[in-house]
Amino acid sequence: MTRGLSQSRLLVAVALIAGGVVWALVRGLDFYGMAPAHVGYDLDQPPLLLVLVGAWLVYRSRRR
Amino acid sequence: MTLPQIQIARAHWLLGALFLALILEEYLPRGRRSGPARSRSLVVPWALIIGGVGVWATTVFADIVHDMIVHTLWGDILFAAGSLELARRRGVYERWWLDIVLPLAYVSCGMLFLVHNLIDPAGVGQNWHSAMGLLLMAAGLLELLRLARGRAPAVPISLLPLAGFALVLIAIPVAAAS
Repeated sequence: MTRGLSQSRLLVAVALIAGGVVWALVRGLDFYGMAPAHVGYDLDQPPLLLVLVGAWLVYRSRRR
Repeated sequence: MTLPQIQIARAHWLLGALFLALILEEYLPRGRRSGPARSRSLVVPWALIIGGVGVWATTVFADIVHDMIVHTLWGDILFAAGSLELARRRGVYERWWLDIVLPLAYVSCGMLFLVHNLIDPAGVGQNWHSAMGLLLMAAGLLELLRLARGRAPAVPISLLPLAGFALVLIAIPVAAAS
């Protein structure tokens, strides 16, 4: 139980990343280009945002 | 200047992701000893302040007056909550009532969703606005109840409606933009 709670961030992160990947496969992603102004559009898509939040959570779960 | 629908959707996606990161940072335990009641992460107040600025920007870009008013009030609440949380977590301002800042912010932001519906009954997405408002209000009330009972579970139940709200905020504008 305690071990599960201590790893809850990691579990939620994995769920978010998996959800984002599935969402991207189902819905598809748009590519706007690699110019600095367009990279924001490339990243600001719901499936990718879920993956980014999941990655952030992985990072925050490993810092200490 | 008004924004096209896709830009409005992008802003909602970004704010939804920011809010999702905020609540997961605040309410998921970081280790065996840390619980939500002792969170001192500075990520949370900064996310609130950045979110407040983002919501407030709608005042500049919206072309409907009630959208301007409601989004401005949302921004004000987020900015005030972020500032108070920032002061508490930096240790420069300690008051007992600072514990209820986040729950009150959830409840008041949720109520504004319902106000949004009341002043624009013909607007699109009424049901979703109501659902989002009720989710936020439920989360705030659950947090207030938890504080009143003096309990600090490892993962508070309020995380569920908060996560639901964030996911709705990310997912719903997809339909509007496509």
